[in-house]
Amino acid sequence: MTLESPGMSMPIEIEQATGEGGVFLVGTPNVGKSSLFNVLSDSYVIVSNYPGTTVGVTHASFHLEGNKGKVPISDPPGLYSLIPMTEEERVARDALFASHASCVVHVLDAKNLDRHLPLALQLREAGLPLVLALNMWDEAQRMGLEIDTQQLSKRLGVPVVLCSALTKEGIEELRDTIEKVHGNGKPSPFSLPWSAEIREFRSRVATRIAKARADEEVKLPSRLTTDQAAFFVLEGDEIFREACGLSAGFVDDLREEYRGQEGHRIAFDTACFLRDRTDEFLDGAWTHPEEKRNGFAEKLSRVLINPWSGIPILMVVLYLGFYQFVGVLGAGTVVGWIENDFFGAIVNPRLNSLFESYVSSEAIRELFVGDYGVLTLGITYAIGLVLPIVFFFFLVFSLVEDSGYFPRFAMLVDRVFKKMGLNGRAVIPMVLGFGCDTMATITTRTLETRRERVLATLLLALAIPCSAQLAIIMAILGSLGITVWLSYMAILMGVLLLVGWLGSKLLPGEAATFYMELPPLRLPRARNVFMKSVSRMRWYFKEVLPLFLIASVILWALDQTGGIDILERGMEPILAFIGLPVAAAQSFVIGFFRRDFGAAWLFQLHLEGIATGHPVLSAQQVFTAAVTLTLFVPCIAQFMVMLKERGPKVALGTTLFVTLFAVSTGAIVHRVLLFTGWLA
Amino acid sequence: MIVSLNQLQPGQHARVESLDEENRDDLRKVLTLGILPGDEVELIRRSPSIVFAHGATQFALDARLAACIRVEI
Ligand SMILES: Nc1nc2c(ncn2[C@@H]2O[C@H](COP(=O)(O)OP(=O)(O)O)[C@@H](O)[C@H]2O)c(=O)[nH]1
Ligand SMILES: [Mg+2]
Repeated sequence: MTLESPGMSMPIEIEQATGEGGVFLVGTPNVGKSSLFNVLSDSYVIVSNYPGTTVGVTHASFHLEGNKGKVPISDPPGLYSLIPMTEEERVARDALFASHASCVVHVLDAKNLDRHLPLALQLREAGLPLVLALNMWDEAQRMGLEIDTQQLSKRLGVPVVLCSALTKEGIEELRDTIEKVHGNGKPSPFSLPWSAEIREFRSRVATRIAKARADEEVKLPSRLTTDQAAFFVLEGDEIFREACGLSAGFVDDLREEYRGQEGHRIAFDTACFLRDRTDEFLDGAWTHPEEKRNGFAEKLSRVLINPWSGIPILMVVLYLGFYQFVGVLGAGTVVGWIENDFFGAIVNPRLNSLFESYVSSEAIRELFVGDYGVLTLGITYAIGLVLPIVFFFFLVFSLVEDSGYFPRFAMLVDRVFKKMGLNGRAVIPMVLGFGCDTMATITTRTLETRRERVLATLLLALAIPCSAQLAIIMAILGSLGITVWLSYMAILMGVLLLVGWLGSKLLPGEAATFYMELPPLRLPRARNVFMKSVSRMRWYFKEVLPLFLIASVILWALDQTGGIDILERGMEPILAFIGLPVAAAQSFVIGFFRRDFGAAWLFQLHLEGIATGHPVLSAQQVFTAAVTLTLFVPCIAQFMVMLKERGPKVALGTTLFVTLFAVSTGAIVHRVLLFTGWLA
Repeated sequence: MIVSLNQLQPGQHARVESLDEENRDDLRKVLTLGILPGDEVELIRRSPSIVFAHGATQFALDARLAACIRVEI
């Protein structure tokens, strides 16, 4: 299975450094790094109006003028400072220092230069071959902002270019500048006039690091100077501290000594110092813009963040976007066309007769066109069922994401999420989970603590059905009436809250604090929404199709050898425990391969029962099966990602817990239904 | 008068007086947002999270972090 492109952005391998002479983009989230990457490179990465959508480093090629070949270009996640606080920031920072980039392009928002220049100063001091790309120049111009790039460039000793990834203004100049820096090598030396006290404390750490480095006990990136490392360690970088072999106590004592002496924490003094330098560097070269936000967008934003109007709007968005568009139109109408009218009525009957006449071996025929056939089951489901549903989901998701709505959603639900040991930041993984839990598990990287990442991984595996599964379950339960559907959703919500709450009590660690920038609301651009959906789709398909085919083959093999019967018999007591007939066993077996696959099997069973007039499952059993299957094991792809991102202990533990929990919940639902007589 | 950010009324402007430096992680987060003494802020909402404007940028915070920002009115 390929894990190179986890949906949000491509490769998750961070160790892969940009080889000699690459271009590396850095900058705070949401300044347009990915947009510039798309303009500068020969590849597409996902651009979005949400801080934290790039969770891995993407590599592509940057073509040099006049056939001089190409060099790698990398787009990492955003970082607010060089001392990482979230996993994704760490990915970006580590990749930057591990890279041998010959040109580091720091992308800044021209409108908020005062906010972003401190990072530029730190990069400058780190001795990196820097270019400052002041992006969003189109917006800055509209605000009447004036920037003297020559002055800035002279003061900072690095090239400064105004550009816009949107209008492509200044892109040529940026390309030329990147090439020049790439060819030139080392930048001029640069250091800031730090106070004597800060320098003294830093040198005390630096001495220790230098000694450790001499003894080769240090796993620091070679690009990082000892002084820089000392700076990071003092500021609170635990990873570099450990890499230098310094004890937490030693550094804490130093920090406390500084605080006792100066009255402020060293991190505070550093921030103030960088702010003062920023003001000096910008003085006369950059004018502070009028603090005016676009009138309508700002009014709309206020309506969205007010719970009284925001929550009803959220409901309408969910109903129209996800229920009507994805569920009814995508999963109902479009799937009906492709699966029944195209595959069911045209393609599969022909394939059947084709194989009838040319293939004599029954077993081989079954492999391709039988009940578990690679073509009639694997391909038909993948293309006829899953493809349209997932694509419709990604369209809505990308549209909502590009508008800048998610951060507002996050601030609305922060308090509820805190009850589950998470914070508002977790909305993206949680909502994305309704599209694809595998992809969502990867984006849990944007969460700050390991505790939150583990909790989110568990909740995704347990209580968030993916879009394909949900759509099928909606179709099954829909026929039983709206109350049944709502009860199903209510049970899932209850499980989510209960397990989240219990998990947050059981897992040691502190509650996560919530802070997030609210980017301006923007009108989504059709092209970007479409490109993004296609890009996610492609990733998804690369993951799914092989698994569908493998699942078909395994099922075929089991069927041929009688293995299915054995499995079914083995599951009999468990199924009896939740009141299901043996016939339902296949759904659960298949559910191991794909969550939605299992549900689809159940659906088939249900339909056949109705068609023949001998229902295999009663309404009660359908409901119990739907709940249990939803909670039941994560699919193989999700399990693999859990293993990779969280390690074997969490992955296996979660799977075991989820399986036990699903069966127990199924048993409870079964007994409650029996007792109350509901749906009987 | 000096109060913490979450005690402002919506629409009220204030100047940041100091930051609570007791908890190092909380301080780092506030510094990450680029808030420093002397800055102008405007409170936009108090619930369900605290939303405020700092220059042309808006941030959402929970009560705990907002309490670390002391402002003068
Ligand atoms: N007006 C304008 N918007 C831009 C520009 N560059 C990026 N954007 C938008 O800014 C948002 C963030 O862009 P993205 O490339 O994902 O930022 P990243 O987080 O730094 O990778 C998206 O909504 C983009 O469409 C630009 O030059 N001008
Ligand atoms: Mg990006």
